Amino acid sequence: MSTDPTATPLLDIAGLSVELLGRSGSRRILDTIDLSVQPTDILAIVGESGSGKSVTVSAVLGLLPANIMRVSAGSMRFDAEDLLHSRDTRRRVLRKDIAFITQNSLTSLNPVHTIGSQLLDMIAFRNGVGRRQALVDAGEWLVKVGIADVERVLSSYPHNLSGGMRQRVVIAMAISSRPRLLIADEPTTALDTITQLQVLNLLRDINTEFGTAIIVITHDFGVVSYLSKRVAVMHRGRIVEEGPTRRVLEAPKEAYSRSLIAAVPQLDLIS
Amino acid sequence: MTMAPSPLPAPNRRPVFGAGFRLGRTAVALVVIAFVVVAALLAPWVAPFDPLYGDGALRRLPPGTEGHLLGLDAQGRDVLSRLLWGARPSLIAGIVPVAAALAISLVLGLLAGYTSSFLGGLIMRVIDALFAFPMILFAIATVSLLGPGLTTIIVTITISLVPYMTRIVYGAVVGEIGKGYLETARLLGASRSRILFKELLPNVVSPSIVYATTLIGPMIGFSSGLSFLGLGIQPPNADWGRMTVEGVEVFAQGAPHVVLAAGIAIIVTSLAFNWLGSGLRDILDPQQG
Repeated sequence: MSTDPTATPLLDIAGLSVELLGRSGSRRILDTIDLSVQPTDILAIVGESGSGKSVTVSAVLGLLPANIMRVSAGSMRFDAEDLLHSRDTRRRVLRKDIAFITQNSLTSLNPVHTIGSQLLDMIAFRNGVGRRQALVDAGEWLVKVGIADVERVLSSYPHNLSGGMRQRVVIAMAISSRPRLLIADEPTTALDTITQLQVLNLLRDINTEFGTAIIVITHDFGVVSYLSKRVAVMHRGRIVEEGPTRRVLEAPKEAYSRSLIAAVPQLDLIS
Repeated sequence: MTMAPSPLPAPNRRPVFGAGFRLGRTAVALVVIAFVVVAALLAPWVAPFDPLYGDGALRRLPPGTEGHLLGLDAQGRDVLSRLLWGARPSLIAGIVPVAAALAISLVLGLLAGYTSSFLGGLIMRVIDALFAFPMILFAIATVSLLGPGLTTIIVTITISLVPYMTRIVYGAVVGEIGKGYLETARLLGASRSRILFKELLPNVVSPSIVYATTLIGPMIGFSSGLSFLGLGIQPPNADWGRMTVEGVEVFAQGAPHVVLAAGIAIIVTSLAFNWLGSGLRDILDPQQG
């Protein structure tokens, strides 16, 4: 796999606009977004709250709340297949090729079922294997995300685990179908710094080991510089700047990018 | 979930009863409820006297009068026998409508909370309208259709409980909406019935059941109120509620045992159901205990 920009992108979003429907007419909240993700790429989307990061991802996943938001223009293609108009394609792609990690690991697991039961269901369904095979796979995936006492975790309920452990479980669930694209919406926001680092390392390992492309939504520039290869800066529903992470962080072209980066608190000690 | 023997141990179920106090409480509740239910079932055989036959010579005699363990009421009827027979309509009036309302409310609440905003809005507005209706109007309407009796009590209580319980279920559903596990299920194309019944229902059923069990006691009392108005159980038959009403009339005439016997029966039974409810929550909700 190559990151040659002329190759077919894995995910190709072109001219995507989303409208927020209101009583007094609609308002554009995403304005002609162009984004493409190459296989094995790691793209970070940064921006302040309300800039449209999550809406972009929701549009890709088909999770826009239908009664208040609508895609009004543009196209989305996954591996050259139309993701926007074909419900079947979207369902098939989402089942196997795109996985999603939400911000809050406590609510992304059902509190009344054990980890084992949920992980098994997920693996059995997404990979079309029997439960016995799924159980074996479940153990392997948990080991891969760095969980040692697999048996205890499988028989635990979500609230029995720490936030870091839960996020690992969620990641294990997400990558268990060997997706080609992993979308992570603020995967480390709810975690302490040490666990953050472990989760970021895990995501990086997944990228190198399986060649999984990753889109990570964040407002933490630590995550951006540590994890991503490219970064897109969003502001008020537009992408104001996009480029290689190093270049954008060191020499941002746009004023907004500069102010965003300048707003990161530094670890300066008061002298 | 059926699983073949696996290389990993079965999920460790928490012990069905929590330790110490909870264990004791739930066990006591179960014993009391079992006792009351058996007594009600066996009333024709274990009741020492005909509950409707009054001996004018023995009116208002206190507990311990020979042969009459709990004494006699204002018309010389055996209190113990009436208590045993009265357990039948009282238990039915307490349990059946609450169970029926729970089932109806779970369906309505899940539908209202999870389906389209139109259907959900329609259900909840109808529920709101029902809130504004006095229960007694339902009772009178039902009586005119079915005549007074236990069926009327059951129908009336069921209808009047549905709005409250649907609100509880709806609130629980709305609290879960938007959580990641539901979104994931939706993303993966899980069917609506799977999302409703496998993902959502287990999360809303335990608060609903706990609430429902706390209603059983009050509804035993409420059914007696309906009977008192002539809409439910008719004299000379009695449920526990009617017995308290009749007992109050002779309370100050040196016969407090009539109202005490029925009142204690109601209190003990209600309390047992409440304890059972909190015990059930411990069993149903993995986050407790």
